Amino acid sequence: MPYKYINYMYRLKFVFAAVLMLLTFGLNAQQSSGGSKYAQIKGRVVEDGLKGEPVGFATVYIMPQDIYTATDIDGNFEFKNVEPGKTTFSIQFIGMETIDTTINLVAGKVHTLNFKMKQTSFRLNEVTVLAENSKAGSATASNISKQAIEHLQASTLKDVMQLLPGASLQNSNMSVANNIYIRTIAPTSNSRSATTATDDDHANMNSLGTAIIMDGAALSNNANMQLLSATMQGENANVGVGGTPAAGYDMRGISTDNIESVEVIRGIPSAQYGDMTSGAVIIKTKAGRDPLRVKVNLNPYTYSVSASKGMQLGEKGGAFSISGDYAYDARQQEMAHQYYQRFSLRGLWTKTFFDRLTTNTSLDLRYRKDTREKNPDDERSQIAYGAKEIGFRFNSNGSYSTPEAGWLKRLSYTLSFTFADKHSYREQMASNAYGPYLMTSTDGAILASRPGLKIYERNEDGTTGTEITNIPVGEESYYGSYLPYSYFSRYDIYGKELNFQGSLRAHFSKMWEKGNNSILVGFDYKMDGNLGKGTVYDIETPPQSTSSSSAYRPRAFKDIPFVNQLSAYVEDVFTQNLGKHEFKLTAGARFDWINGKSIVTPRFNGSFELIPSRLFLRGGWGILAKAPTTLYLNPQEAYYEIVNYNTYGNESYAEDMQLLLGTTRVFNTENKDLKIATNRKAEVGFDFKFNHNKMSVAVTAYHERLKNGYSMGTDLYSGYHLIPYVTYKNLQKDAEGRYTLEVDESYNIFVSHTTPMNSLETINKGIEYEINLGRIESIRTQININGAYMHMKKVNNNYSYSSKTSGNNLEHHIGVYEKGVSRSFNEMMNTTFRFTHNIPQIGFVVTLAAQANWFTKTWTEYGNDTMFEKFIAGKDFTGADGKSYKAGEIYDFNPAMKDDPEFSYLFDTPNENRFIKEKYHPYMIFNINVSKEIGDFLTASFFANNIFNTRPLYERKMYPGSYYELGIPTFFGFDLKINIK
Amino acid sequence: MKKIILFIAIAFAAISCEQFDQVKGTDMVENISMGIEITLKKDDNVPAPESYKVKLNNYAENIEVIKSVEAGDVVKIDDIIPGIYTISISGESNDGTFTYNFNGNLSNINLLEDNKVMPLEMQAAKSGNILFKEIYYCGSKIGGKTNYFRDQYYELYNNSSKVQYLDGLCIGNIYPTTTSQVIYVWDRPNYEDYVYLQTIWQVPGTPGVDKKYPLNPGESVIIAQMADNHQREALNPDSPVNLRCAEFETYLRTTANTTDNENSINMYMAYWYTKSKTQAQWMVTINGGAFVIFYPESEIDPNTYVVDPKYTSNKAKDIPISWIVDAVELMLNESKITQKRMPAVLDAGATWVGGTYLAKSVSRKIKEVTEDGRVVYQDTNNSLEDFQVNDTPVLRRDGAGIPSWNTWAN
Repeated sequence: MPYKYINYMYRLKFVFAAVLMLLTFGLNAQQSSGGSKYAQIKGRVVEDGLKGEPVGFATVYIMPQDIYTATDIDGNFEFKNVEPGKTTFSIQFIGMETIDTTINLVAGKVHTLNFKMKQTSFRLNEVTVLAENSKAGSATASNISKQAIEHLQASTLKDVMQLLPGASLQNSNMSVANNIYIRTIAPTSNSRSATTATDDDHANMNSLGTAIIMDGAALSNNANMQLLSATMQGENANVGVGGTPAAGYDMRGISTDNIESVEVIRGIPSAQYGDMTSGAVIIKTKAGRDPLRVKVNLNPYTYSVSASKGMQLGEKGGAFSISGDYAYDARQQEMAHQYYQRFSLRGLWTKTFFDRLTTNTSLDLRYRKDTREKNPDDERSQIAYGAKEIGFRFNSNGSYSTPEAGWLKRLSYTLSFTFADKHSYREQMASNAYGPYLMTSTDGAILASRPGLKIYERNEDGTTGTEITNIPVGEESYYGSYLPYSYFSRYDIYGKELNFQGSLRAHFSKMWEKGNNSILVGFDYKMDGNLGKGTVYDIETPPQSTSSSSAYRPRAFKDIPFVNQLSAYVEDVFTQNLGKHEFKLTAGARFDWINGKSIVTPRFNGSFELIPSRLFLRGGWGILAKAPTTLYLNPQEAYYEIVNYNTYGNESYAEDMQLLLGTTRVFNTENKDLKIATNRKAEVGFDFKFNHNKMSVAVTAYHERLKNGYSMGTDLYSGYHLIPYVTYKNLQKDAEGRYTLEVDESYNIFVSHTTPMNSLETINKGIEYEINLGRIESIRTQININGAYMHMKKVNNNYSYSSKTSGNNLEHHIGVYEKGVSRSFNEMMNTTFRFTHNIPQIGFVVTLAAQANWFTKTWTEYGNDTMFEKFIAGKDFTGADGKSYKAGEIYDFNPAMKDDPEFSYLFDTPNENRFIKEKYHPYMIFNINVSKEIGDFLTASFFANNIFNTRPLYERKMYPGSYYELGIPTFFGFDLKINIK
Repeated sequence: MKKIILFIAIAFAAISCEQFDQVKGTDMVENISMGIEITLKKDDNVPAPESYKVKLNNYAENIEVIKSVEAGDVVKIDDIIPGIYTISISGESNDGTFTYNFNGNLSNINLLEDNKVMPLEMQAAKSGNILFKEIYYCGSKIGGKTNYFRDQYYELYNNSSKVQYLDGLCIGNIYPTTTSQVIYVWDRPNYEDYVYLQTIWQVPGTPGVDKKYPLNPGESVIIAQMADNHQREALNPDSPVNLRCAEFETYLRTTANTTDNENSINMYMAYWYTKSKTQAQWMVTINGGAFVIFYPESEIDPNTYVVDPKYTSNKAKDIPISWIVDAVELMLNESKITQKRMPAVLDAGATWVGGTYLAKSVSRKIKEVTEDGRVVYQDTNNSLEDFQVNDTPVLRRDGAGIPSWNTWAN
């Protein structure tokens, strides 16, 4: 184990020991206490209004005691034996405004509390349509309410990410996978003709490293194997629904309707969250007591319809809500044959058992389809591809209160099981496919074009020598063939993704006069696997190979082992008041074990109230880790086919002399030394509140370094193979009727493939700021300004190669450039001004967002890209220096060898313009969102993006004459929500 | 009331008269004359032409004027409607054995003033002994749907009355392979004296030394991209040609080992424009490339070249124009004529089949048939004039002979 991690192991042990000590202390304290040491609470929650109907099944949470309960059907709740002191009550119910209030609890007293909850509506004085920052001392996060999601008319959760500081305003686009990125200059997704969200390896790694946690369990893309061959096509390819396996979860599959709240953790998340490097998106859904709600949403490409209803199942039955939604997105208006469809059905049941165990159990049924049907006007390629997914997710999470167990306040659990049946396909006319295809998947097999046929080598004296063919045992019926120039080919990929997660947590807390301490201990188990049939195609019409020697082979996913993750974590939240200054420290560590690899990731967040109620200083430091997914742990083998003799289909020969002889080579592409990708995050910041807490400024400076990010790359030592290639001539039959061939030429050729590597490295630094000027009563407008400065350095720490050839030759050397020879940089700064004007009396809210993109810079720095550091010898030879070089070996490259004809063909003239920095000039985008409640049961919303249609053109300095169009296309949409009581 | 109407009518008339006056005052457009001062760049023993054929094209107004004018230091052309013209001049002279073609171009000249004199330098190009007889480049379709381009071929013909030796003869196409709006001006001293080739394939042997491949008068050879029977089932039953009889093949060695016709002689790859070879075949754009054939007077060194400033991985090989034996410029259609890649001295015009994957070919027009039945083809170094479009390619059209060393053609 590396040195760093041993250090953390000691820390982990220390934390564990401390916890045990505190536990015993707490239990002792409990045994010697009497009832008068505690406060008692009885309360009721009703709806604010004339009727004052009780709010049943609302969650009541008290801090810092860390105890949950839920109201019963009459709105009543009770807390017994609660530690006295300043206590914050947080009461939540979907569709209602959360109550946050602080009450001083007195020991020995029975407090009777009544709360009135207001319905969330645009008629409230204060509307929450923007992201709100979390409290200092915990992870830097943005909280987004249901009202904000609806005002923004988000089609998927990706659309709400534009509320975060530094995010650029984007249009909703359901024609490609919706991946979420955190603290990175995200790739733009405005093109509707793209087939993948992005080809950028670093962006995909950032998205893969963003955990999407819904109701306590992660939405996992770890078992996604829907691509033909990562070693051939690269890991960013994909066929339809669910997006590429190299990126994170595709958010198009999740409807935004049932979401109660979203917390986007940009900073250092609590130790209870794992399997991530960038950050986390925590989604909570709730059942409510909603009336029947129907929503219709429209924009130029998408329409969606959803309906939901909540009901109470009698006194002991709990609350149940059912919802369904359907969304349809046409890729482009004039192409009806390309579209995306989503249909989902959800049932959610909330119940409290024995007044102690609150549970939320849900069952989601999903169907998604991503299609590009055959374009009726395209007769040439006849491309059609698509993907379908049908699946379900079962989730149960809850909390069991243990108020009399001393320090232990409650236990919470999460159980989740997901199944997704995916079917992707692609069909098209292969063209210029004239090439070999051998059926075998055995390395070293040499087959002829007739099953079981043996061919021998003919010696110089004419006698028959050794056998050339090598037919593996059991493959006597296999043969090779030469594919025609053009044929119709189709492949299907069947995946059956399974995911299971279970976690158990124990919550401890203790209060004393000046502070409190909460400890969380938990265990997680996670399992990802794929039982699908895998890639399937007819061997007579295989998918067309993209290079002359590589070939595709089918693969069954069920042969791939499951990935198991075991985790344990402990976290302490320590708060102490030093006079009027509150000091808070969150310290935790998490231990992860994945299929034999393990890692410890510590997390720290702290804050200090420098000026009471005004200035908070905060900081955090931690390490996050994302385990390799099934794709990177089990890549498919690489296959090569080379033709040794070919008179197949050559009519100048007699039919029995028309033969093909070919060799198949197979190489394992697994990287057993694949490490776990880690991201070291550090941040400092401050929160400054003024004007009676109505205005605030929050600034966070961060520095993050991702190491060992995953990508498929060609490894210097295991990526190139020098294999013998012999060609034969003059097919004859000997006296016994056996076929014999004479050796024609003998070569050594290179074949290469990619392997999973830890070569991605990203260094992200920046400053995020949020200025909240509060609501100016006189003009009824809230003003909020947020933005960020970001600087990114992206490196691929792998060697790059030159495998050029000289003339019509097959043999060549391979030049190797230094590792990470090019490093790309991005820098940008933007500020978004949001003005929210609301008129509560008529339930009207309008938000104008004006985003100023001050600059965006991209450039690349190069190391030594004109001279090789090493080379791989393609044959045995004696160099000009007299040294003898052996084929297949790696040697250092002497710069004096540049002009030697042995190597000169490998060099290339790099483009002088490659150093040019591109810098976009400033431009602004204006978006407007309007929501209006009409009567009692109707809410209409409208939005327009880039209302002034500003699309400035930027002329590229690297290629003068070609232009980028900045900004986003004008886009608009309409939303109608009907509440039927 | 009537008076008012009358008054208005007269007022209108008065005004109109004035307008008529204005129209009347416009000057008539008069035709103008212009002169071209010709400088001939030639060797002393080459005679000068006696007359020139001048073609003036105003593409914007669709005007074409063809005149024949007497030779002189200044060639005068009368009666031109003013406008913007592209002028091409050609002349021919003969010294008994060889025909010399003179060609020159003046592009996009503004002819507005009378008696403007423009200078023009013209070079002489020898009429080749070996020339491109037929080129089939546009490919064909399989079943009317899938594109097929493996059946491209080039037929070379001995147009002279003496035997020629093909050893060491090179065929190449100009960079850029397809016409582009970017006109390349290469960074090289005396750059107008060279053509810049993308690929060069060479007949094995040393020119002038080896005599392994003689080509008698009236005989032709076929250089095939792939010397196979393209009409067979696995390839394209709708292809117009079976190239098994081809003399030469531009065979690219790959591990896919596409059927190498063991009879056709594999040409030697003398130059390739990029060092990463990802193609499985030598295919020159089905839009039509610009081809030259030449005898190299020194060995072609693949390590000296000029680099494309935008796509620096692409390099072109500079070959002196004086080596060129014959040249043909092909392009997609007439609209690309302003994007010519070939210097006018080698080919003043261009030819085309007018589309892609049409299974059509271009071939030279017959100039004359000699008494002993030998066909002589037209070669004025202007493929616009010299070539015709055929609905289907025919191997060895007009009864061209097969060289004796080709034992596999039947």
